Amino acid sequence: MVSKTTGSGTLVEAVGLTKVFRDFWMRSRARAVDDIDFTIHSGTIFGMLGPNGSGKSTTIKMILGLLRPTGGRLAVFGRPPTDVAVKRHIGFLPEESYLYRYLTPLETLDYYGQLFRIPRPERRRRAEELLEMVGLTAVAHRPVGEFSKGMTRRIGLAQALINDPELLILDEPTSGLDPLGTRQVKELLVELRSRGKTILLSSHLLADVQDVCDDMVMLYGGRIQARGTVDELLADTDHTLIKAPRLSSEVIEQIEGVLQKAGVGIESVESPRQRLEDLFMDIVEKARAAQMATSGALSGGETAEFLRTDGPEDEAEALLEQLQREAPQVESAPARAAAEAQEAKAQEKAQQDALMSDLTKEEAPAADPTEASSGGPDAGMIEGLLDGGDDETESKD
Amino acid sequence: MSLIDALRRALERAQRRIWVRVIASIVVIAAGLLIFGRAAWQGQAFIDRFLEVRDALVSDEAHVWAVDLLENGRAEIGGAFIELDPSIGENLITPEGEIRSVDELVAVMMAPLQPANVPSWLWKEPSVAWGMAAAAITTGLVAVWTGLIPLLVLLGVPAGLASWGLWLLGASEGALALSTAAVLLVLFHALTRMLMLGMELIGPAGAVAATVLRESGRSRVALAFVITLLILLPLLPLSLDTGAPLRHQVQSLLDRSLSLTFAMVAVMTMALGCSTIAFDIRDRHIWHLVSKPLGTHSYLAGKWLGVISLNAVVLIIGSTFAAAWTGYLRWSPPPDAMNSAADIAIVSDEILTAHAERTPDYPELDENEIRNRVEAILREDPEYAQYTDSVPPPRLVRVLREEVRDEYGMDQRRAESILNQSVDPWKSVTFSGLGDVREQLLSASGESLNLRLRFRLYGGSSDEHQRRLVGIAINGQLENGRAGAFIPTVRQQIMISPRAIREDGTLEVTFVNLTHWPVPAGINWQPADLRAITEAPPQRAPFAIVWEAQDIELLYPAGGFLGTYTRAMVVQWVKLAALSAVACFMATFLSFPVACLASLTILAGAALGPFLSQALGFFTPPPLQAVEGVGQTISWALDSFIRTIASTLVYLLGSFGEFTPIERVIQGRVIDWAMVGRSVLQLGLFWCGPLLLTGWWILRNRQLALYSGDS
Repeated sequence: MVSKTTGSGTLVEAVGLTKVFRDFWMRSRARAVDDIDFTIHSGTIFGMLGPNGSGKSTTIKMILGLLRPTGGRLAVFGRPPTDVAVKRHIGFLPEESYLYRYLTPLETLDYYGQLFRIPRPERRRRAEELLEMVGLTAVAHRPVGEFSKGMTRRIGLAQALINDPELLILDEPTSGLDPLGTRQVKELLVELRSRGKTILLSSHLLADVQDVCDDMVMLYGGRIQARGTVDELLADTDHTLIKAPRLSSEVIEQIEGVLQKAGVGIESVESPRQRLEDLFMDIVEKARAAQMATSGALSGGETAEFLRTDGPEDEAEALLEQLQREAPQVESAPARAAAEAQEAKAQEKAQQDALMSDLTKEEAPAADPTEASSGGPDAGMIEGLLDGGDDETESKD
Repeated sequence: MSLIDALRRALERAQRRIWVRVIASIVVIAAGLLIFGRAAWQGQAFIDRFLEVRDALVSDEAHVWAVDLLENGRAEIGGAFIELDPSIGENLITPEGEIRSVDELVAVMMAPLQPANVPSWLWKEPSVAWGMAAAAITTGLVAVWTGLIPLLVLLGVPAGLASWGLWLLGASEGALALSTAAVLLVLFHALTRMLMLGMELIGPAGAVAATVLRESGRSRVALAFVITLLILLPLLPLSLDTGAPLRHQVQSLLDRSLSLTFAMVAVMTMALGCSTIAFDIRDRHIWHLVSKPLGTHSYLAGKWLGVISLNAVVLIIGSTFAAAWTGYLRWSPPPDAMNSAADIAIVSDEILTAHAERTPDYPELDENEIRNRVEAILREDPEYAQYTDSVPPPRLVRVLREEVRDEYGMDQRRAESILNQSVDPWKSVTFSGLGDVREQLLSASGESLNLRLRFRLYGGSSDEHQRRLVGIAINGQLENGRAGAFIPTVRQQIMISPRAIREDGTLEVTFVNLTHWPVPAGINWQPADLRAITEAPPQRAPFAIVWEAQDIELLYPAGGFLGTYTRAMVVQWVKLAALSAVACFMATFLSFPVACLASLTILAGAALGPFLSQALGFFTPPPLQAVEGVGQTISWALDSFIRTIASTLVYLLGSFGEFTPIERVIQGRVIDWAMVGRSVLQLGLFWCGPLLLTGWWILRNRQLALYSGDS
């Protein structure tokens, strides 16, 4: 379980956020996001979990100002999402990297760096460090159009970091990446958080979210179905796990006897298995040590120097204060009365409790959340959710 | 990996080393100086020597050298000997040492001293050669220091070898075309790189613009146009009729190269302007962009700036090519060109000199006279008998007033046939305000006025393929008039001495409709013959000659070619900027194919504006009162609808077609800064401003993550 560093500032705040897609005749075609509330605090990794079509990407697009909310209130750094000033502090990796095919990685990073008005030498330095970090230095002068999906994702991630953002929004960041890249992204996210950066991570890959997120919401059908910290959501207060070196059957029987005396029976006894990801990483590390050749993207290097440099600890909060001083606050939707919001939250909490109750009944507890990536408590829920699906057509989540 | 690809990668790696760039820079400078600098230096030395010899031979001591030349075959002038073949000398110098023609003598003696192995078009104007040296070295250095060494090597070496091979095989024109294409391609890339560096100073909008320029060099849409143009341009000279007068060749070359450049760039502008924005939206690149601190105004401005920068690059290339080749043609007339010396002079006087123009002051009817004539028509024409005792409708009065005005105007521009005994067979027009022009031309000896005219035939047997005899007299002196054969509808010209301008700055020109053709026997083209011709018996059926207001004009020198040429290109650029704004605007809310189609329709409408405007004059639906029945009503409604659309188009787009800088350059007309200013105001401000503002508003209010594509 990763540690959590929570700041007090609120970078993103959504209240009653709703997005309805309409057709040419203004008829409602899909309710992609339906009256959701959430808050992203500075210095945290906020997970947005949900199956395809649950409204994750639509929410992100609203945060970025790419879509206008149909209802509710949305503030980013205390300002409307369309405000250009707030984007100076945001890094965004979309679900697919929509980059210019004719630009090389160096040119791509240089281009986006220019949009942030980063001076040329600094741009150059950051671009080189980022390319080193994502393992694309060797192909820095090849057009992006020639890249594989994984390589494109890597350059996409690099461009999202070129401005050393305060708020990093990642939509399916590990999609298309090999386990090595996936591991590296997770480590990067943790490292960025330790520097006080805030990350919004949207994914349908449960392990991604579980491994790194502090807070999370689970979306389905455009509504929040569950919310809380990873600990809150995954804690299993009905079971106890004791981890010990391998025990003989005799010892287990003795323990069972002790437990029976206490009126408790053993539900199951298993030898823990190594995670496939760990096994894979182990093999790759050995191969790398043996200097086996590979083509395309090399495994990434260390985190870029400029991303590792510590800024002021209260940087995000100072920024928030500054932005809020400079611009009027986002106006609350007049139709949204505070009472309605409270009521909605109460209903949502009830739903969440019910869902959590179901989840804990269906699945065995995981002693450590990081070890339950393939068959953890989320799996049952997702399978259930996928049975329903929805017919949202305008937004691909 | 192919060999070329491997070589390219190796060169790319190599050019990152500073010492490689330094060596390449030295090579570029040396090559520039060797090719152009040497020509300039040798040319200047020759011209200095030429002037030195000429000055000596017009001085008081000329006879001393003349005798030396005649007796010894050589003379020492300015510390160096100059030789003359005695057999030729006898024709140019009298035995007494008197030089018959200094210019001819100097030309004969200096001919062997002309720079060898250097094209004459290059050394004859050393300043141009130095300019080319500077341009070549600058381009080369930009190419070296902006990462174009692979292009220089991979393009320059094969093109150079192939050109050399063609030269050895005798296909010098092909060699020139090939090497020119290679130079233009390098120039394109170098200019693009230079602009991209400059864009960095502008901020985010500049970054967007620089990426558009990059896109133009790598994406198929723009590259197809650019490469096609850069290949076609060098081939154009091969299409010239080398047997035609040099003036026609120069005009054809200017017309074809500048028109081709503009047409290609215009269509490319449409395609690139539409694609660069529409594809950003379709392929969702804009998701990245809008999530950065880039306002929609900066985005749109950047795209527009990128497209017009590319326009500037291609225009510079096209116009440089046309100007350079004009210089080449001017100094290297083909051997079979007719009267080459005279032709060169005509090219210099008529095309390579910018002329201002004046049209005659045609009298107009005053208000009283118009009213009287309208009343007379209403009173006398049986068609309007119904209005004898009632007030005619205002619309009818308006129409009649127009008719009266038009008829009077046409009457001022018509000369009846000499056979039409009822009226004088001539018409006079007066130019005024020429006092300054007179002074200016008289002080610049040798300059003259150029009367350009074009007649049409009206009535009678008017075969326009035959020549017609028209007499022209200045300031009403028919007895000193001159008869000439004119081909109807073809523009022709007559040179007039500036002394003909009266003291009050007016000049009166009389056109006499002599009708006869062929010319009666025994009559020559002498001034005194005009009266005689009018008395000769008629041989053809009567006809009137008529002309439009712009058909008669007086031109006089008012500046150099280069200035006008540069301003013409600025006007062209402004026109292209307007087209870019149209394309960018369309792409903010339409998909690529639809935006392209809409933009091209506007381009066509704009280009045809003057024609549409003229055609609309002949396309007037009948008055509604005259319409009867359903069929006629539908037809009337349709006609009215079409006319409304066409009128709107002409109103909105008319200004685009009114600016015709290429035509003016070819005709040797001046383009002043006022015209440039007008084009900037009308097209740059009134076109681009509203279009870009509307486009910005659309983009700002559009939900850019809504999409219906399947990419």
